Amino acid sequence: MHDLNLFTVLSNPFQILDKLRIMSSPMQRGMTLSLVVQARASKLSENTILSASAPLLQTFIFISEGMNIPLSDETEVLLRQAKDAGISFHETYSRNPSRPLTAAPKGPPEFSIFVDESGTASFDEAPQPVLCLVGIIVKDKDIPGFEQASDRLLETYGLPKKFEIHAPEFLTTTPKRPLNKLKLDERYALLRDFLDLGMNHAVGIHHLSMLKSMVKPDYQKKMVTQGLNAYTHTVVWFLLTLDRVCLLIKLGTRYKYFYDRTDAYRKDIGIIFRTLKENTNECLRFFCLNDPPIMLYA
Amino acid sequence: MLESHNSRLIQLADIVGYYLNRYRRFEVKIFKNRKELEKHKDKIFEIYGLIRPKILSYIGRDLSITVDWEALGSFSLKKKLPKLKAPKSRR
Repeated sequence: MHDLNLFTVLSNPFQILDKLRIMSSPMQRGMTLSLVVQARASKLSENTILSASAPLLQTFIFISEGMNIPLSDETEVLLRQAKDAGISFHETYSRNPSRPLTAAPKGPPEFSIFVDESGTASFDEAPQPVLCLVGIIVKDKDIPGFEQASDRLLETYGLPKKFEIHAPEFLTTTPKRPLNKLKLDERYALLRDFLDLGMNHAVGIHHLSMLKSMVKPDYQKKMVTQGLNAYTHTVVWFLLTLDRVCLLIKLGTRYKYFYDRTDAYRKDIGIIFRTLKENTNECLRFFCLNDPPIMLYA
Repeated sequence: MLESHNSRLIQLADIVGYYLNRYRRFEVKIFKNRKELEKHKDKIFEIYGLIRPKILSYIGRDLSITVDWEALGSFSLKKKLPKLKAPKSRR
């Protein structure tokens, strides 16, 4: 009995959403059932066990009905036993059909983020007023499906599977082979179809833009004193906001970080990661990067 | 070995970055070179419409993320990064 109460209390320090996510996980529900089995093996009465389980079961109902997460068959059985014992629950019965606990995912999904930039680091380059970093976040299990679907898409436009899609080359009026066999409208349609495909596979997009022409000279000087420029400054804040946004809101798990290598900054990103990780300032420390960033070879 | 020219997701990030970069120039009206993009405005906005639903929000579902911008004041890469290089122009 003590264990059941302790189990509920343990979740309290978490933020609300994290708490709901954790409590609704198959592992948590499995542990609940396991605790009930253990309690039944003791000398505790059935009514005592079910009464102690009731708050947790009520939370599962709330999550299941509010977030469209099916309960396990085993939890539904426990709910019926609790009701038969005279315990009532607040429920709308609008939840999805239950599934066996054995059908639940064995572990949390694994994520990766693929990062590229657009624009330059120069504050004086008028045609490039914006520097933008973009990260596409995907579940690892969805990557092969996206790549295969992309290859099929290229084939429908008569392009080879291994053709590299690069925005400026699609939008120029004088593309090189093999793109030159497509008209501008066809190339744009392909680009749009590819984006559409990508958005259907991505979990989310994290991005950070620096509007360089709006950065005051004083702040530019501050960056220099910190050993940063427009690009590396954007990388620092891109990583920090990525860490907090993705960890707390979207992913709730660690992720792998892939970036496109260019000779100009390939070393800097690694150094920034290490520096942020080692930094004693809690506001700047990384928590959810799975491993060092992974450089893609050009 | 994973190579960038074989990574469709890096290519996807390239395209998303290309359009987000240009969308920002319309969003912030002071940019002087915006006229050059006017003829592409419809397509830039159409693509932004595809991208927008997937952009992560910092504020939503009763949650807010506070980034301590002042924290960078005590942070310096200068000792570890004495000569940071700017990336070459790629776009």
